[in-house]
Amino acid sequence: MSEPEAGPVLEVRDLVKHYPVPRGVLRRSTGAVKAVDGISLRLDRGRTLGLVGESGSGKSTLARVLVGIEKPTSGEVLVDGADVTRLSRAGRKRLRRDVQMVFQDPYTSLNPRMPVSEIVGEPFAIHGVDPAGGRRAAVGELLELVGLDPEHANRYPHQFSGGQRQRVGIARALALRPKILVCDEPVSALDVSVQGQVINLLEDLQAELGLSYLFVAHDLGVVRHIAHDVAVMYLGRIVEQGPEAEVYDAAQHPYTQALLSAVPVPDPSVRLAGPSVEPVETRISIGSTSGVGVGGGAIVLDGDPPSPVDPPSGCPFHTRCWLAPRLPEARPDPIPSYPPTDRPDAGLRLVPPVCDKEAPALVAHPGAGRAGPAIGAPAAHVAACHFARELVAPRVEA
Amino acid sequence: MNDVGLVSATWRTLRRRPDVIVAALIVLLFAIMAAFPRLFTATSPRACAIREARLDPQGWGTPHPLGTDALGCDVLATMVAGVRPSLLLAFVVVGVSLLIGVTLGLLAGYYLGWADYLISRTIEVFLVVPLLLAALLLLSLFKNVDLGAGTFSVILLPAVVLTLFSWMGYARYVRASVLEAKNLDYVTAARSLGASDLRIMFRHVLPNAIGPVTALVPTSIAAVIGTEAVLSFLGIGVRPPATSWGIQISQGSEWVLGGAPHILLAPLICLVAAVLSLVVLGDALRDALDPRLTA
Repeated sequence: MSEPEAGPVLEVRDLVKHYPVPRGVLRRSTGAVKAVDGISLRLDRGRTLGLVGESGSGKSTLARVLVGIEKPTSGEVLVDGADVTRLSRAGRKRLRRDVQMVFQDPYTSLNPRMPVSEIVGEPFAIHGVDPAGGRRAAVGELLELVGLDPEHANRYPHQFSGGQRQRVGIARALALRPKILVCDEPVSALDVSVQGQVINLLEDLQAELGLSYLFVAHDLGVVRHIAHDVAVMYLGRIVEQGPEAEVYDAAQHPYTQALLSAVPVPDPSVRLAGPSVEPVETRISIGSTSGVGVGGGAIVLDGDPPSPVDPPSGCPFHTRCWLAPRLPEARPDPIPSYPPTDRPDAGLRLVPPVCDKEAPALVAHPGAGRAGPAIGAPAAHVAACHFARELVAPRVEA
Repeated sequence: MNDVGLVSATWRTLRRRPDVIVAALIVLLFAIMAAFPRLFTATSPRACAIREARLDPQGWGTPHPLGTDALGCDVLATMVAGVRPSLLLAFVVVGVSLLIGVTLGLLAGYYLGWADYLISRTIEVFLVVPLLLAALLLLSLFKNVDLGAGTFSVILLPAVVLTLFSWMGYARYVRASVLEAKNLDYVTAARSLGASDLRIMFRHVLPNAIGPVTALVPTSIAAVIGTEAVLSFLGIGVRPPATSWGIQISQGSEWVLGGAPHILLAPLICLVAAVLSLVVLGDALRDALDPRLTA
C-alpha cells in the first residue's frame, strides 16, 4: 500500500448521541438512551480504523452520526478540519460527498424497483453533478471499478448475487469520490468465500483511491485483516484503542480480552488443549464464584450489557468485569445489590471501590505492552481501565 | 432507463396473457359505449310506454332486444345510457380518493409526529361518521342548488359524498406500507447521499409502498357503482332523468321473482364484466411494473 500523506481526515471529539425516552400521557422525556456517550476518534488519511463491540455498544449509531443520518446531541465531527455538525443544510449536503456509507445487508440496501444504472447514478442526480463523459459513462466506470460488468447496468438488484449487490452498494458510495467510507458491517451478511472478495476489493480501492475507512464489525478476524487501528466500544464508550497489532496481541482492557478469547479458532487441537489464560502480572487465585470461566480458552461474560438508559456508575464494565472481583483490591464489604434478589450469590460481587466510583480515563498504560512500544505511531495504545494489564490470550489470526 | 424500452417491455409482458387481451377488449367496449351510445341503440331511454312494461328479451333486430323494465322503458337503451355516468362516477371517485388517500397516508407515514396525529385522527373521524347520515346532510345543503344537466353535473353530488367517505382506506394502507418501507436501508442510503424528502418519498418509498393499494382499486370501483344506487334512493345519486347501472340494478332486483329477471341481469352482468376486467388489467399492470416479476 502506498504511503499516504499524514494528518487526520476525520476527527471526532466528545461525540454524544442520546435518544430521549418519552413516557406517560404527556410524553415527557424521563431519560435517555445513551447510545454514544462521549467518543473521541481520529482517522488518518488512507488508513482503516476498525470499530468493534457487542451488539448494542453503539457502533452503528456512531456510524450513522458520522454519515449525517442522525444528528449528534453534542460534540464535534471534523471532516478535513471543518465541523460538520455546525454547518448549514447546504453545507452539510456538500460535506456528505466526503463521507459515504456501505451498508450491512445488500438485500435491503438497494431499491428493488430501480435498475443498477439508476442506483449507482443517483448520487449524481441528487447533487446535480455531471461527470466528464456523461452520467452513463461514469456509472459504467464505477461498475468496472468494483469488478462488475458495465453491460449489466440495466439489470435490477434481484438479478445479482449477494456479493455482487454489495459491490453495487460500494459503487454507489464511491460515485461522489468520497474521502471516507463508513462501512457498517459490510461483509457480515455474506458467505465466507464472498467476504474475502469484498474485503480484498475494499483494500484495492483504498490503495487506488486513497480512501480512509471506518470499518464497523463484530468479526474480529475480519477487522484484524483490514484495519490499521482498532477501537473497542462498550456501552457507548471506547474502552480500548490502538494499533491493530498491539490491541490484538497485547490487549489491556478486560473487555477486549474477553472479546478476543471468544473468537473461534479454526484449529480443533488448539481448542481442545485450551491455552492458559491468566493475567501475566498478577497471579491471582481463581477461587471466585462469579461464573467467569478463565480456563478452557474463552472468557465468558455473565449476562447482557447493562441498559444504556441507566449505565453503571464508575467504570461501565464493572458489573460484568471478570477481572475486578479477583483483584486483591476488591473490598471486603459487599455492594448491596439492587433490586434485591433471592439468588444466593447476589450482592456478593466484590469489585475494587475505584471501579464503581470513578470512571476510568482512556490513557496509555506503559507498564504493559508485550508487542513492543510503537514510538511515534499516530495512535497510541490506550485503555480505559483502572487495572489495565496484559493477558496471554489466544492469538486471533486474520 | 428509457421510456420506450419500458413501454415495449410492458406491452410484451401483457401480450403473453390472453385474459389480459379479453379484459382490455371488454373495457374498450364499455368505453365506446360511453362515448358513442348511438352505436348500440337507436331507442331513447326516456321513450317509455307503460303498456309494454316487463317485456321479455326479444333478440336482436326487434325494438326491445333486452326487453323492457317495470315502466316500459327499453332495458338496452337504459343500460347504454347508464354506462357514462356510472363509469365516470366510479373513476372520478376512486381517482380523487386515491389522490387524497395516498398523499395523506404518505405524509403521515413519512413525517409521523403531529402530521401523523392530525391525519390519523381525521381518518378516524371520517370512519365513524355514517355515510348515509352525511349524505342526507349534503342533500339538504344542496337541495335547491341547480347543478345543470351535463354528464359531470349529474354525478357531482354522489361524487362528492362518495369521495369524502372512501379515501380513508387508501390513506391507512399507504401509511402502513410507508412505515415499513421508509426504514429500509435503501432509504437510509438515499438520505445519507443527501436526497431531499420529496425525492425519497416519490422515488424510493412510494413505489415500494403502493402495492397493497393497487389491489384495492378494482373492487372499490364496483363498490362505488353499488353505493351510488343506495344514494339514488335518497335523491342524491345520479340525478333523474339521467340514469345509472346502480339505479337499474336496485329497480330490477324487485322483479327478479316477479317474472322479469332480465331487468336486473342486464346491468348486473355489465357491472360484473367491467369490474372483473379491471381486476385483471390492474393485476397485469402491477406485475408488468414490478421488475422482480418480469424477469
